Amino acid sequence: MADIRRFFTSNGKSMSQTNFISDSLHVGLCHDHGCGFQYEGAFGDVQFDFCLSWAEEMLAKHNEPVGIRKRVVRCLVEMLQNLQKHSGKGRAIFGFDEERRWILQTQNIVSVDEKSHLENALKSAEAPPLEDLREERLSKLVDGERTAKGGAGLGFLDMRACSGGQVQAEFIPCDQGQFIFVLTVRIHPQQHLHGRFDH
Amino acid sequence: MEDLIIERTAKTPEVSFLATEKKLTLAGRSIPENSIQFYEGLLDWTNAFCASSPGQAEVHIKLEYFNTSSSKCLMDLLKRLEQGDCEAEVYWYYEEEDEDMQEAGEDYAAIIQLPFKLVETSVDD
Repeated sequence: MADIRRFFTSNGKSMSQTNFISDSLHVGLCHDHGCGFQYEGAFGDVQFDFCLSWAEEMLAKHNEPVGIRKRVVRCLVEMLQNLQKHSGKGRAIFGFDEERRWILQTQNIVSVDEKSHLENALKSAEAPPLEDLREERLSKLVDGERTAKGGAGLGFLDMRACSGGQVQAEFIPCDQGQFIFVLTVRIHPQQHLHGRFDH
Repeated sequence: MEDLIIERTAKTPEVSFLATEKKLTLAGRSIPENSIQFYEGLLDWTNAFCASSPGQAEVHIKLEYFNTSSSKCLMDLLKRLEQGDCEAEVYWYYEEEDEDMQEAGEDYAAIIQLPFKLVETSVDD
């Protein structure tokens, strides 16, 4: 478990870009406790496909109900496609923590401008309270302006709805004035959309 | 008018748009990286269909899941049907434990002014 958990939190210290992502393909699988996988390197269709199929396999092995399986996959798809579309390389981590929450994390390097853009998008997605997210998503679905690379800002909103607000973003300074964008989403198996829990 | 048939892939749904039967079906996953590109052909076909085949039509949406960019494209597709001359009736299928897909169907039903039926299916179906 430690192999994977160390990526879930940052210590806030500067990280070296050269140590972060190499151009070579590196795949790490954490077999003990079946806790998950991490992939690091170039990110295209092939990498998207195998990350998704590993995740689906893990969810099936843990006998998660179909609703949770789909919700986790739905979030993972958004995160991996963000990585693919906006960066082309990075790190994807998938597993669960000691509270049995599924943890999805992506990491990629962003420029100052990209950081600013992401911060605005995150701020906008975090603004509505959880109970208003559905209305907000509806409004974006109808009126949101679609970009060539995205779905009109629906992605972060969707992640918030799926996780009951458990979306965490960090920007860790690294080389050449750039940042490592660390996006983490936690999904609890007993949580409903918009944060309501089974008791 | 020719039918539009596209086989499903790991990222795109099976498309079965049958002009003569007036039955449009989408089934599978819709998570293409470039949804606009995939749905462009479907929107063009739907425009032509609505123009040339007025009257009742059935739309069956049986998606396992879809990404957010597909959600916008689905909206476009349903809007075309709503604004066209075909009197479409939409059947939105979701698995019994899948509250997300059920909610998505309810959301489209609230926006689109077409008869909209939510159909719960068994996980084993």
